[in-house]
Amino acid sequence: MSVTMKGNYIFVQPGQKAFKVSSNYANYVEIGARGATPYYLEGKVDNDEFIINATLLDDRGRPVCEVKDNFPTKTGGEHQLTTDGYRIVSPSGEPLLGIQVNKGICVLQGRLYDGVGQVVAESTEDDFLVRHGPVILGRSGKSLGIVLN
Amino acid sequence: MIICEDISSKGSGFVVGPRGHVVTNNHVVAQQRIEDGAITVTYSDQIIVVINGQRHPARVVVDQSDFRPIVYDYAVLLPDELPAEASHALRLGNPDSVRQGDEVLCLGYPLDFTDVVATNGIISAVTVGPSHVNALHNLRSIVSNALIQFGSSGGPMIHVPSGTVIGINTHKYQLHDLLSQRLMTAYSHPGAVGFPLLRDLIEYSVKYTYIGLNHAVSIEYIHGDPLFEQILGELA
Repeated sequence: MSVTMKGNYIFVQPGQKAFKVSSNYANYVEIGARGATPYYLEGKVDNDEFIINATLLDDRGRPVCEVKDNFPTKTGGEHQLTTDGYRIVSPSGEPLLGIQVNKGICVLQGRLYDGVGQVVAESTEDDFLVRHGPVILGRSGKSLGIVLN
Repeated sequence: MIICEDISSKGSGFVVGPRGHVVTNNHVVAQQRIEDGAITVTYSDQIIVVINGQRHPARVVVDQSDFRPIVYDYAVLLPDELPAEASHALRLGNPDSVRQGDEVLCLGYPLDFTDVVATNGIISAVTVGPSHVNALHNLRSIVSNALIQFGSSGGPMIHVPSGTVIGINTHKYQLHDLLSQRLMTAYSHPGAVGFPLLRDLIEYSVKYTYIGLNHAVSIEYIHGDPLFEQILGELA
């Protein structure tokens, strides 16, 4: 049985900088596990600034791009700077990751793939949905918010 | 002075390092357009660095595929010929060591001045907030009351106590834009015209008329650029 949780504030209060993921607001998001999964996305708030680190794969599970401290590196596809974030597009033209900051809320967009080309997370019309774990939403010291394995 | 005739841009800059590299704002040497939300940057092909009336063609040497120079609004130029004045390179300071109230000197070529213009003031504040180019990235600005004008962009903000450059003069406080925005809002909503409009006019006239604030991008972003580290290494 699946359970949907919406509109929760996880280790963050309304008005504070937060990531919006699956209709929840969190001070931290980790999709995949660094070193354990070939893909990885970490979003955190450090010194009141959103910081993104990621390893992005295409729909065949091949590495396309790395993002280090908000700046794309080793990009196989195209990356575009926008006024409120940036977009990374795969060589085949598919949006892999979009970051959009608006009034203290960081919205993720695009489609993340795992090592076999399965969709891990993707944006819908008005949300960014996580399809499978491992995922962490919210972190405070050693305490974790929602954990999906 | 830096002139880019192909993009109708003019600004200021300063020499660093032994090879005569010139630092300025990215927006002085590049044209930025927004298409479908994406920022496209086209660098000038006709950059001229004017030093003591001598024109030196120059090229941009920052990594043009990197977002950093765009986000933090800096560019590094290399003139084709080494200007004799390259030996007058300015020293870069440590922005962490500055204090509110410290005296600063801003140099540049505002308006139609062809000789360098110096204005002075104090550090009014050091602010950290979203970059004026990209809201994702925070930018540390050194705010001072030293006046700058169109053409001052890219000039150095010199920290008088240490004699070093701590910032790149980037933009002034856009008071007129804020006022225009409020007035346009008032006019586009007829019900709002009247007391709020008058209040806005009085508020902006009385509170802000005599406040001129200059935002200088902190020099720390230059320090973080690998290319610049190389230039500084040569200097050492």
